[in-house]
Amino acid sequence: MSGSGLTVDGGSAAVVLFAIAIALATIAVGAWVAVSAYNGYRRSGDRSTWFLAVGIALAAAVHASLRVVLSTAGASLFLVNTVAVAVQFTGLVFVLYAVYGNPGRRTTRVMAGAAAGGALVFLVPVALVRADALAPLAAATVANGVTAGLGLFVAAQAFRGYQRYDRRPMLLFSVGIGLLTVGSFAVLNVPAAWASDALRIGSVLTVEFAGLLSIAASLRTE
Amino acid sequence: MGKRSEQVGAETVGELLEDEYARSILAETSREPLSAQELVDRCDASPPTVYRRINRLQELDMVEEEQELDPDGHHYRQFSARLERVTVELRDGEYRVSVERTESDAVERFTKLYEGLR
Repeated sequence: MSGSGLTVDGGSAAVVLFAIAIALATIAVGAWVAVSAYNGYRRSGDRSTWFLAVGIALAAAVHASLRVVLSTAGASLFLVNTVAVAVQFTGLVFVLYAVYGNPGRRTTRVMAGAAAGGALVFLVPVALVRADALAPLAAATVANGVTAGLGLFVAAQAFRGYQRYDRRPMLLFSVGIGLLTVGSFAVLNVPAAWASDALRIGSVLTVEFAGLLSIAASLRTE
Repeated sequence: MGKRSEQVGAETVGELLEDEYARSILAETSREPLSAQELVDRCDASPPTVYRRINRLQELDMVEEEQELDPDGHHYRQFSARLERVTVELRDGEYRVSVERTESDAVERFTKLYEGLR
């Protein structure tokens, strides 16, 4: 579990360059997604759109960028995963609230609730590992699994929107959020015998970058 | 989106429901979603009449449309009524008319919200 950084186990120069390229591209595309979402909110000025914009920024852009930055900074795979997933969880709650809730009322309470949920997703695995009740990987898997389930639901709703109204952005968003949640969950849970930590981190970063690209494409105005 | 009930002018609603074609378009589309051509047949009206009424009903958000794909891969629009109840209240010399509409579902709200973001 000491998967530290992108250059683990001295991969070949090409692999290292590839990892650095993916990392920089993730941050660039992530920033673009966050800015586009915020501009979208500014154009509409609508409360629900604010929740959607912030939700997408957290669940996609901030989440993927955090994973890159923390991995590069040499944090353990467990810590990287828990922090990134907690932020993503909060973002997904925002997205769901934009769709199902009644923004405009009780805004502060919802934000507090979402933040508390995210904190729980972060703190529970950390506490369990501290108490030696659970191996780090198992704890990370639980937090990841819950968030992946939420992500799958959001992706499914977006996909139904694409099917019903034939809007391509909804398909791209569905694929993007699917890759960022279920995709990275699947990659992280590849049995250890099949893939080293380094390979796993590399694959997660690649899958999440693809997801982020898909979301960026969905926000592009034709 | 979001608002289930809303104030409109008494004349606006009165004028609309006075119209025979607007009434039958609402009635037919409250049973099942229909295309403009189907409405032309069922309401026994000319296409321009049907389109004019649909536009007016959409302006007042009493009818909503969905894109559908026919077997040949062409897009066509289907309309369904959103109107559920009109209430007229007379109080202190003032008429208050409120319109209640069918609630839009989550997938619809999600899609519209996302369109607003782009």
